[in-house]
Amino acid sequence: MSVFARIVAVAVGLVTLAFAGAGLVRQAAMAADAGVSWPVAGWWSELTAAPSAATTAAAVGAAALAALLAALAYRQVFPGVPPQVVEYAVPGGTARLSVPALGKAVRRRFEALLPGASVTDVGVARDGQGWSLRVEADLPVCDLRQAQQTLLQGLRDDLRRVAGIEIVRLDVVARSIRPAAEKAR
Amino acid sequence: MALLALLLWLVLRHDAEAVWLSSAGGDGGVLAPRADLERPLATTVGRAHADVLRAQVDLRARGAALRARVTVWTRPLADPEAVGAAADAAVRHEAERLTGRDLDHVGVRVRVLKVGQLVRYLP
Repeated sequence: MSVFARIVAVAVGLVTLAFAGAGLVRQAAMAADAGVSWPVAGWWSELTAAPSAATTAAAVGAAALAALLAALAYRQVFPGVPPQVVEYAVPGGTARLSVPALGKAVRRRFEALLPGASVTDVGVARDGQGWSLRVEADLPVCDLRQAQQTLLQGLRDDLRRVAGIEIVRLDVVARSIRPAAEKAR
Repeated sequence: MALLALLLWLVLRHDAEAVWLSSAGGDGGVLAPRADLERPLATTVGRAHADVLRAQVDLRARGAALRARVTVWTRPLADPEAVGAAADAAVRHEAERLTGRDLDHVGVRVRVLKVGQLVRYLP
């Protein structure tokens, strides 16, 4: 999520939260004391008392947008299980790649290339440019940029030879970075 | 309202916990926990000069730029310029060792303690 998108999301969230909070307080006050008179704003009354086609369309649009954003948020929090087999075109047909098997191979190679590392998760994706790997791991203290390049080169060579795929990108998500002695404890 | 608050929290929760170190070639990078980088940096700054009593490093990545803000607490009568220079050099050296790249900006703030404040900062 870009910085701008984040700012917009937070601003919209805070404003909506403020409106919802005001509505809640209003309802609570009116429920607590029947004598309380708390009329809603004039523009809202005008908007809802005699709805026109435009207000109906706006309400439908807002509801659809809210549903879409809720669905996106759900997908962000629960991305679901990624496919276990990836099919891709090769000269003369298609090939199938088992993601768990690939993950095991990547894990072994990663830990061999970077002693002291412990891989916890491997993700693989493919786009127009080629294959991307996302590896989540506990790392030893090291030169991270150099390590990423070494790992990328090693995994690229290995997977080209073993699976016939070209890795173009490696994203390493470090869960922790600890000195080797501290990790051993 | 609870759902809204939850969504806001989801947007904000990862704001400052990790630093993205992109590779020079644009072929990926490393997402590193900020605290795990700041800790060794602060330790190194603490050893950079004999007058340093405590050091704190705040690491930030903005786009491709990596910045560090260093706060150093020193013994009374310490030379702030010498301590600042030592801290600057130390944090740059250690950051390069850990991340493979030089820091784009380092801001060092040296706080020379008074004798009465020492008791709170001595190890």
